[in-house]
Amino acid sequence: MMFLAPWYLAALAGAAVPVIIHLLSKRAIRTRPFSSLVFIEAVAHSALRWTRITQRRLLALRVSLLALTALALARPVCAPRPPVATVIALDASASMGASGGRVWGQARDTAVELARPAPMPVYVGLATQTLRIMQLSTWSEREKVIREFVPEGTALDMRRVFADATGYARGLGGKIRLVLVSDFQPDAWEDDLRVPPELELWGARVPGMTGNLALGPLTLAGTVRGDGMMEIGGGIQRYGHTDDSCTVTLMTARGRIETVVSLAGDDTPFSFRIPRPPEALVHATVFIDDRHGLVLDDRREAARWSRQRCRVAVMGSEGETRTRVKAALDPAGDGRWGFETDPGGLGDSADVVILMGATDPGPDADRALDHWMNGAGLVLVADNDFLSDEGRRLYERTMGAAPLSIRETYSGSAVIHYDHPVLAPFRRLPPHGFSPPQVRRFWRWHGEGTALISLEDGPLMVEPEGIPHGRVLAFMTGSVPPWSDWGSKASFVPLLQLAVEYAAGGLAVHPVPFSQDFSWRLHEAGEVYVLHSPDGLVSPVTTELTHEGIARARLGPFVDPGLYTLWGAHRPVALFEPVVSAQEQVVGEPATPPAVARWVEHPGFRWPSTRREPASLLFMFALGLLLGEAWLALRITRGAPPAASGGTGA
Amino acid sequence: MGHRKRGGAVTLHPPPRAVASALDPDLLSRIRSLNLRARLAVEGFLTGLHRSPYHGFSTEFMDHRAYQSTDPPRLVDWRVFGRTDKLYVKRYADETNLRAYLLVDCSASMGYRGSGPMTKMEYARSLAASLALLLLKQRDAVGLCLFDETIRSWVRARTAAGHIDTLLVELQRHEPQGHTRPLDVFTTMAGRLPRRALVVLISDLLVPLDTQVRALRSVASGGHELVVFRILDSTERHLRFPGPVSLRDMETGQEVTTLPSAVGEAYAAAVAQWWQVLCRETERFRAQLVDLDTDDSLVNAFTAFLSARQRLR
Repeated sequence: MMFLAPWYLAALAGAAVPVIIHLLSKRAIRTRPFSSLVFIEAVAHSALRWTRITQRRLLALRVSLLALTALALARPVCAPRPPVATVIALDASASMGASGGRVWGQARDTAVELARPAPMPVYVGLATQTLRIMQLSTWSEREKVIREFVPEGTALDMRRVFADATGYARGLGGKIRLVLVSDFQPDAWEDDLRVPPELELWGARVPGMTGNLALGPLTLAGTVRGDGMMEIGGGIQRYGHTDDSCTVTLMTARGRIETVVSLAGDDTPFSFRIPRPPEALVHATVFIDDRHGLVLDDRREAARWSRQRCRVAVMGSEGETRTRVKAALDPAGDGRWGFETDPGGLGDSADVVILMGATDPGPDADRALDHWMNGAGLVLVADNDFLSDEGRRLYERTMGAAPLSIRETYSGSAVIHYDHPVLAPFRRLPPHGFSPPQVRRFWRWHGEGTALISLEDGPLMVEPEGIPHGRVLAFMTGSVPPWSDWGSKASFVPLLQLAVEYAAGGLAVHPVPFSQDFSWRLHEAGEVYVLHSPDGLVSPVTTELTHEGIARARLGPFVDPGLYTLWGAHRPVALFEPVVSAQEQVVGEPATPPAVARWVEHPGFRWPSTRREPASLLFMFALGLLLGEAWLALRITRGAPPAASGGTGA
Repeated sequence: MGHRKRGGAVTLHPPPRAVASALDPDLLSRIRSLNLRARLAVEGFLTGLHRSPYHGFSTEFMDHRAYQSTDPPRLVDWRVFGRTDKLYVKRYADETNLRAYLLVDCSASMGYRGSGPMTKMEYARSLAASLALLLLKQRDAVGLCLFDETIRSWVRARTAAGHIDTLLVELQRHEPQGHTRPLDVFTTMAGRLPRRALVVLISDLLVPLDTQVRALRSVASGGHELVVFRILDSTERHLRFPGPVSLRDMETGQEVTTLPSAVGEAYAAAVAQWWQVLCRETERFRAQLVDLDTDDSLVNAFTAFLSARQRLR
């Protein structure tokens, strides 16, 4: 309860006046001798009790009369403190734009209907990932603004909305009533969602989508075509979805490919054509309407395909070396790698080119660059000669214009200087030595001259859109082991396989368990640096390196933002879980979240009165008390009712 | 002129103005000497008595005789004339053998002074002294008993001329105090009364009704004639006090806080009802009851006394 004129509450002190008078008069009663109480005892006790009770009633009446009068003058308001503002927020998430705008139109009509008689001040706004509101004054302004709202196609984040609304409430200095006009899709209402005390959440439900779309399992539907293109496809299952089309997005190493799929029936197939098959075959993510996606991680199928289909060209160096490399990668000689040591054998269709002796300029290097320009992955294998001007020039050509400054060696290994863009995250570190924490730790583990550097970000693989450049991986060896011995090194072959897979668009780092044995082999193999860079999305690899080495450094180019969030929260998330079933992607029935304090039933909705002033009622009651007081006072003046027969009788 | 109204109660009529002014309690209260006060009252009363119908009050009626021309007409018994159509004159016997005992309540409640000019005790003294003087003038033997919860003073009935002084001294010697226990006192006193006597009780009778009735019956059962004067202050009849008041019992010390304006009506009704019941109860043993206020003229008391005496014959 609050009071509109609280200063009148000071008059409540006046209610003490009758009490004081009563006490004073009680004290002022004179005691006088009387001959005998024999008659008074008989008749006066009941009358005295009546008088006392009546007087107490009279006292209570008088106190109540004064108190009520003071309360009535203070103009009490019975209702709890009314909200300082009413915010009508339209859910502008993607689901509200479904059904050809029908849902959104209905939501706007509801908002207009609610805003028309809403108690001032009124704010309207959009709620998606945030809450943006604006104050409206005139009715025409309210309707105009609401009619101009459009859905934004993103998900509704009620936590953020609550946070923003709480900020507004604090800014307004009181509680606000947030009326959310929404289809109340269940994915926005988590069980632990709580309404902050600064808010009073009302819900106005609009009939949303009656169903939704879901992806069926992705399939490697296509094969490599003659033009080097590959098809990947799947099916869209339809659950009462009323729209006739949806947007399907395929995210690959090359970026996003979107296509609009016309929905026909309950199961509609779709397919994408991928220019460089290996990338898509290893990792792909498909989204429908930017909301629900499936991740393809059919590694078994990818491995099978890569063994059979990936065509690797080994160039440069001597033919003997190329033969040894081929033999090392394909010891069975069954051609599953599609090796071609003849630079011209594969034409332009090579998926990966291993350029041995990359520091040697010549036609092999030029052809390797041509392949790379056409999208093939490039594995540069060089020894310390790579530090020569020629090698650096070649590397810089593949790196773009960014200079790579390798100024010194350390125990026979190259030390990469920090001014290279690839190493941008490390620029704040000391200029010499292996200062990055992860490198330093790695260094401590494996002794001098051994390091495995995984860079977070950089322009290395950020390819200009539309140019199908392949990945580049520089594979540098120490100079101590002769080239001819490489094939016999236990660690060289798996590393080279990793490099090929990566260059083919596969994993950034293959999940090879990092163990002491393996590190020993690395050390045995000489000082090998693997430079790789994921293609610009995210890279939690460094974190993984500090904890588990590269064992969990599975970084694909297609990282679901949601999963990335989980990474940020340091939760162990396997990025590539088995394909989720279609049913789990179905949007359920509209939610009825308990956080909503009141549901707005429309049409015919009436805003409740925010305040009730019972002052007139109090005045009437006080008048009644006044009459009662007068009647009681008169009764006391006229005396007690006659007593029953005298108690002094015989 | 008095007559019976209910039971043994005697209704008082206003006395002649001259007598009333002489016996006005306000006037009497200014006279400190009880002797002088009693004589003034009796003389004033007797002065006006020649015009009153109570001539020959001092003698006991004996018989009738035929009217003679020398007889004053006021001696004619008009009742007999009304019945027989003949004139007879009453003959009176001398009452020298009448023994009257004045029982004066001197308990603490008698010291109450209300709105009247004197306390109930002072009024009772005046009344007792006056009655004693009046009776002694008729050569009746007058005794006195002052009592509260016990007999505080006992004076045997005598007719000597100087006996009035003894009575007055005794009346003035005792101040009101103690409780009232009439039953014990009257039982004790009944043993002291020698033979049939006239017992005049002067009291406020502020005791429970059954106690009072039993006490009076104990007196009357001895063959004595009983005249009872109840003396109350007017505030005791109507409880007229301004505002709330705490009343302390003068005998018990008990206090009761009350609002007289609220309970006065019921109180007065209770007092009146008490008196009515007492009259009805005492009618059986022919007690004569006179209700007096402390501001009533003593003429009323004398008149009532004579009226009561007449009825007792």
